[in-house]
Amino acid sequence: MKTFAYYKARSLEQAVSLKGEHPEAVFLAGGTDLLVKMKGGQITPQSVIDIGEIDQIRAIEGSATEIFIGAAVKVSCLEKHALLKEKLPSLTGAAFSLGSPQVRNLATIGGNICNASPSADLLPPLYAYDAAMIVCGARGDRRLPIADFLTGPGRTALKSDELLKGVAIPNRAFAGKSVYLKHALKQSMDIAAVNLCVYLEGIAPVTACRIVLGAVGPTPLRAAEAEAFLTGKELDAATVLAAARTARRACRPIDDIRTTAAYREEMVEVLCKRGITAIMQKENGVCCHASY
Amino acid sequence: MAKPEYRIIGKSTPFIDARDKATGTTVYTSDITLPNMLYGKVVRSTVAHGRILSIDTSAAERLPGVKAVITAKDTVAILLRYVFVYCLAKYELCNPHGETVLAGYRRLGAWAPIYMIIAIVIVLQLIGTFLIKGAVENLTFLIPALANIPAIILGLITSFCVIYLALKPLKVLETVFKIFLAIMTVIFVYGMIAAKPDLGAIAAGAVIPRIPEGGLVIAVSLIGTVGCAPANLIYSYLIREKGWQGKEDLRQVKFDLGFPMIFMFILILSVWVVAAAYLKPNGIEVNSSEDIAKGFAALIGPIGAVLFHVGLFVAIFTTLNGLCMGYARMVSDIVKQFKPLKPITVMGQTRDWVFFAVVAWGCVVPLVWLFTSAGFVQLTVMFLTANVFVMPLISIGALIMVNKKAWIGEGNTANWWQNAGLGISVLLGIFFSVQGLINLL
Amino acid sequence: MHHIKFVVNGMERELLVNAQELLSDMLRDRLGLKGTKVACGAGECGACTVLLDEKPVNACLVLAVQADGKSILTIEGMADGPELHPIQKAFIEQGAIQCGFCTPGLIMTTKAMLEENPEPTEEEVRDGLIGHICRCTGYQKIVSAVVSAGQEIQAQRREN
Repeated sequence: MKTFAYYKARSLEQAVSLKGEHPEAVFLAGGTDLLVKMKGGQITPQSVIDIGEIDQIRAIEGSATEIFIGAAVKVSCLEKHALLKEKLPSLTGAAFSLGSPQVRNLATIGGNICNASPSADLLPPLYAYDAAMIVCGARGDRRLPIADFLTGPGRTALKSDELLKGVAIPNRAFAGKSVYLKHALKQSMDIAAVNLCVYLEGIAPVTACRIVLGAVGPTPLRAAEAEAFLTGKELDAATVLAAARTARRACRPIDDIRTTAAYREEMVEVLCKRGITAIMQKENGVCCHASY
Repeated sequence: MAKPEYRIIGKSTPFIDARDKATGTTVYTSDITLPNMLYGKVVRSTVAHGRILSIDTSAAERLPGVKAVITAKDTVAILLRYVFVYCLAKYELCNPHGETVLAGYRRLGAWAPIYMIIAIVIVLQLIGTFLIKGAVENLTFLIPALANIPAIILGLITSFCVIYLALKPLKVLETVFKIFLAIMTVIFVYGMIAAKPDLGAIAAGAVIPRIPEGGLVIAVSLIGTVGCAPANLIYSYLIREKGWQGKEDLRQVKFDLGFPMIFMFILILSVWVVAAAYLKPNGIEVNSSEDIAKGFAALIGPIGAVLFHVGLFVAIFTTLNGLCMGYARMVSDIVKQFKPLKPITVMGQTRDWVFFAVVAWGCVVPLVWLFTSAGFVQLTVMFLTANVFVMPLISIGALIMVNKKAWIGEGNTANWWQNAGLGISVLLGIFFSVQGLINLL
Repeated sequence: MHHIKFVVNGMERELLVNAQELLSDMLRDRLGLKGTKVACGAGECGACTVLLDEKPVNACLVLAVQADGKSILTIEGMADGPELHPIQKAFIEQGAIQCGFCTPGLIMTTKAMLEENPEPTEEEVRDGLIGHICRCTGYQKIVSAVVSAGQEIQAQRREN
């Protein structure tokens, strides 16, 4: 790795002020994405600001209105957290499917979000749970919906003086059931070729619906048409199939080294069908791996 | 009858080293560390099936901590030399006329051998001068008291010893020298310091390491390594000495040549790496052997400098010895193409006047140059001039000789790799000739 | 340069490290603990797994400075003098070791896994070891070794 300066921030204020002094610096939390890129030479920052041990952003707190998850919470912590397993099972299921135990002990939810890979595991559930991103910077805090936070592959709405403080998930957003599905070339330790999160409240009829497609666009996409279609309907085999086909139309996949656009499109329909069917069968938070 | 109890069959037997592996004590290659070791990295093409147009190592070499950048340039030279000498040996052993390589060159035309003589004469002067100067330098470092004696006297003594031992080889001394050289090489390969002149290249001709500093010295060394040097022909004589007569001995030649080639390869690499590892970071310029001796001393203590100087002296001595003898025989043979020479016996060696003249030329006349430092430049210029014309001759000549059925014999003509190697040598020879011409003009 | 203090295999150590030094290199080259291996260097093979504050992590993705104030356990800290840890014994006896390069990492992950889940099913074992690649064994015996080690540790606990 090229030489760089390392600074450790012990508070958010210190992190923000260090970033002000070193505008070109990158933030380090878990390092499972950043260090790989630095070793490969894709990123050569002159300074690194370690925010992994700032207590303010390592907490998980449930309140009367929302659940707050600090950006520096480890993915392994997400995976095993009792409150989250109960309330946000798709998120913990997605956390379980990320990398390996060793990677999860280092990786953070903030890192997964800010790395902004279109196929990131934690993103579809966060979209489905209507998560808001809490950002802090020199000019104070701000909140924005996750769909506005992620702007493209590897790109976020963070300004040069800002860092992600955490995510807030409103209590009303997890009243229903959800499943996270991940389809990859390998059974484990692989990046999703297609991933998907389905959230439903009510089955007969469906009162709220969110279908989030991952790895088939520059950012995760909501299948709005399919969601509208399902809302108010009673779930049966025909509606499920129709919804899945509608969701397929929402995706904008590309060919890449993992697989082709055509295959992704096909899998969106398959996974969507499986996901909705799973919820119909009273499953909640199931993390399904489809495999070749 | 009771069934016998088996001790091994049917029993679970853990791997003999399973415990070491389970405790992390097994040493794998990447776990080995040696003092002052360097780390190598292979740089691979980013393009599949790409053709390498050029490799620019200058930026890498400038990085702090980068000790050496080794490319095919350094290693191909040795391979080319191997092919060249092998082809000449093949001619010597296989041709149906029972003639020497030099006689073969004669077939190119009567002028060819004369060219060779001129080349040899000049090369020998240059080499003789460098080597005697080097020998004297080392002697004075070893025995500082000798510095009081005029250089020319020391040179004369060295020359006398070289000639004496050339004519009356002392087996014991030869063995001692060989052992010493082996020790030196072993030390080198363990990471000591590069020496400037060639080390112990007796049989296969001089292989001069590439020196970072520029100019004429590089040109001279490159010329040597490309394999067009007349020194390559010396090997054919040694074949006769070993008693190898015919085609069936060709296989032996492969080993005989191959082994030193591998050896030289390892030596070159270690010398290169070591030189760069120690000299470059300490800003030491290779101006004289004294700089290197200092490095030696710093690494293994005062004995290091002594060892180095002794070793260097031995190397120079044996090289001068070998080259003088070899070239003398070559010139003698060339002259004999034109007219027979009367045998003369000096100190038990029965040769002819040409032989002794050349030996003297190589060992004694260079002493003249010891007086004049300016002489070196002129000498090198003459050397380059000679090589401009001689190098292509030697390599093209070899290429012709090993491909003409009438000359080398049915079924002995060169195969694809031999022709390839020679062909490359030819092209390189022409290339350096042109370069040399440009430098001169 | 950063001054760090940490505990490794029960011993307190202090070192001056560069920012770009990795934990894996620090353990191997500065502390001479060569048991931790580096293969892929990208957190995919698990050969460099060590326990950092009792959690298995890929040491190749941790900066040495990040070890400040933490406790590290490597393969060298598993045995108690000449007495091997039950996990090490299980690996040896079950034939889970061939070339042995992946073994130290596997043993460290196994230790953490068994502490959290002392009697894992085969499926749980396989899930827990997805961060390790083994070229030699085909994993079957490794799984047996982990299960067997878990049983042995539980048996020892019941005795005490």
